Amino acid sequence: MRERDYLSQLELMILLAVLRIRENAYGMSIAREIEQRSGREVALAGIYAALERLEEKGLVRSARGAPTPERGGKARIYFDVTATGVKAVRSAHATFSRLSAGLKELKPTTS
Amino acid sequence: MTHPLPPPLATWMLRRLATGLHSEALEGDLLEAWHSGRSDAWYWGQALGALRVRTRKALLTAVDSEMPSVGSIADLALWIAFGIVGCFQLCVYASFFFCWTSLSNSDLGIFIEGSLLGGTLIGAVAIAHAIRTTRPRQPCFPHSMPSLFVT
Repeated sequence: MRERDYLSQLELMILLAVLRIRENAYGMSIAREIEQRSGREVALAGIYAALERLEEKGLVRSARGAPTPERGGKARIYFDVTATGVKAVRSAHATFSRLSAGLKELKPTTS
Repeated sequence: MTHPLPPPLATWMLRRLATGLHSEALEGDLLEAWHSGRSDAWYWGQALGALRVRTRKALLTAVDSEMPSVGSIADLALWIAFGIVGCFQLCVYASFFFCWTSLSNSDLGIFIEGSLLGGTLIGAVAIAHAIRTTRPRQPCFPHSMPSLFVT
């Protein structure tokens, strides 16, 4: 598949969610954080697919947790943003800030 | 102690479709969420989401790659076949349902032939649209938030 050097919207949301959750960031908690903050439902399979891409790019790293009976004996995978990942988030955030700076359409309206 | 289980067909679908690095964790997460009160409908929605992600990945691999792998071509061919057969069946069933009582045998034959042709056209348009919309994605901007499932 073609390599992209920019972050997709979902990838950026995932990186921000992992940074917010910190040590308890696994698939379901990341999905919940995104749903609560954005108000949109996300497919967990889409989150895992994006996490795999981010891991391949070296922007996140994963660690296996302990399996539990309510998970059918399947372990959680915990994710953490790497230093490169933080740099990529900073860069994307700076790009958005530069692009949106001074736009009258984005100023809060008073009603 | 035995735990109740979510819809078995949805679980079977997930196991078949989730083939990534963390597929086991995905299954575990969904099971955990279902046990903590998520509905069967939500579980089904996630299984269908996995189907959508898998199909998109297969199409992207086949369309974007300069040297597509045998696996990705087989995946794409499988989904195209599903699409065509699905459209065939839908059109044939629809024609039987609406016209069974009012048509003679020869009319029915013509109707089925027409339905098959129509089904092929619908399938071809749907597949062409799917391939076109899975071309390389645009860089992200806040106003481009997709509707239901963000991928």
